[in-house]
Amino acid sequence: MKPSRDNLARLLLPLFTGILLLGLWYAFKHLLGLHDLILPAPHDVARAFFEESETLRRASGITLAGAAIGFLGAITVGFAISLAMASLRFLRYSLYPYVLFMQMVPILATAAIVVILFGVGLQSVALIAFLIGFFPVVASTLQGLLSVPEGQREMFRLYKASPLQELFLLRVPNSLPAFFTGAKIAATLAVIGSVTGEIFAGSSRGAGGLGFHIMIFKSELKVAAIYAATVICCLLGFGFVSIVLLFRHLALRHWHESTLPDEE
Amino acid sequence: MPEGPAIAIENLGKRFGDGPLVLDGISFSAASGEIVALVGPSGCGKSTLLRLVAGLLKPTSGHISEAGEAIQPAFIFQDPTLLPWATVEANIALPQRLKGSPHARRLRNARLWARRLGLGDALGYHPRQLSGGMRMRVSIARALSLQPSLILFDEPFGALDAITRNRLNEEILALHQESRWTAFFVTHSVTEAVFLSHRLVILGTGPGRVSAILENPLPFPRNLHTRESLAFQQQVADATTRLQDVLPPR
Repeated sequence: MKPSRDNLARLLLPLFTGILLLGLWYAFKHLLGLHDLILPAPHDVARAFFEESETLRRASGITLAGAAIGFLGAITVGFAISLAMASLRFLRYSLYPYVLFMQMVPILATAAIVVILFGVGLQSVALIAFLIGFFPVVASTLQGLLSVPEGQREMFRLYKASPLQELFLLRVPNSLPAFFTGAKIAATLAVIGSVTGEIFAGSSRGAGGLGFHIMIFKSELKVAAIYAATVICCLLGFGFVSIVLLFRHLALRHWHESTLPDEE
Repeated sequence: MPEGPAIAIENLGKRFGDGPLVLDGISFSAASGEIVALVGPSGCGKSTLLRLVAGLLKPTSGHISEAGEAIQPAFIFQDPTLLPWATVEANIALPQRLKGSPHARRLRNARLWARRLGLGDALGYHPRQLSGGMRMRVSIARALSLQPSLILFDEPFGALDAITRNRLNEEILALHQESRWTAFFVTHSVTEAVFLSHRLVILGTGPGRVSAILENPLPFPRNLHTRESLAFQQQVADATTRLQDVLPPR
């Protein structure tokens, strides 16, 4: 029937695209005669996974730790700050422009500044991952907390709901879709932030993450290994986003349109 | 159960900020346990009037006896205003939850009102899974769950199809027979107003004023046969003529 054919197309078409891209990769390399140090072949990248497996596994764990600490910090602190800003107008008016402004700070500049302040190591990497995710979480959660339909607010007023009841029974649930949008952005950025942080601040006593090792691989001319590390970064990012989407599905499946099938 | 309060509205006026008067010199009354229909063209301030009676807005001038604070009226909004993340049961239990009544008691009460409105099988559903008529039933059950003595209807059935609307009208009257609350019912539909009310207040625009008050002598209980009766048709025709008078000229 139609839905199952659609599912098949969703599975096969990306597979075809992948094969096509690999073909183009080989063609590009051979037609232009590019050296392995400029553009390694896909099978060299695959081999690098095995040759560097020990290093990559250890580095992935470290990157994951930095990203996870930063991400969890961004969503918990971000949510708490959003609650405070939604409840207290003076706080909202005072801080909101800076929340918007801080989203514009380039991640490389953040990384450089954090390393100067806090030195090299996991604390700096996690802080960079935190900072890159925190502001999007606050911006979108606050939006959700403040955009309650007028009719529902009036209904709460009619039943003499206290400000705390209005916050936790109306505004917080209403903000969840927006919160998850922010959390998804933070999840995407957490790994990027962590890797960027590691490039600046990655090595503490030889235990570096993927970003750190990308720099090492570069200096050792292990180009295929750089590609392998990059693929792992993408997979980690996917993993983070998938976890957020899973939680979003669990939280919103009964009521929110965006959890209807389609969006992955 | 005691009957609903008698409400007297005296010389009520309302403006928002520095704007023009929205309502001017509104006076009429509802006897205890009466349903008063408010009919008028768009922009005559019907919804504003209801919000003044509910205590959601403060009047600029004039007076409402038994104003909102004292009696805690129920309000049934144009939109069902259900919480989309809550089940039917939790939505109906919301007013009691806001009052701090214990979990078990408010759920028992919510189930009771769900059954009264024909929602007994839908307790665990979320609003998204319900039809427009069902959502409005949840909204009515929620309003009735506190056993109010005054109910304010702000054009609740405007978005429903005619058959659903007629059925809900009949159920509203059946519920009223049991509890005898006082009610104001805002509607665009003259037929609905005549079917439900003891009295029709026809409002004109610019600013909203009472243009006519029509007593509605049709006997209760009213049902399907009432709609087919000549007296009903005449009452509708009469009210329609009065309403024509307040519509702006073409």
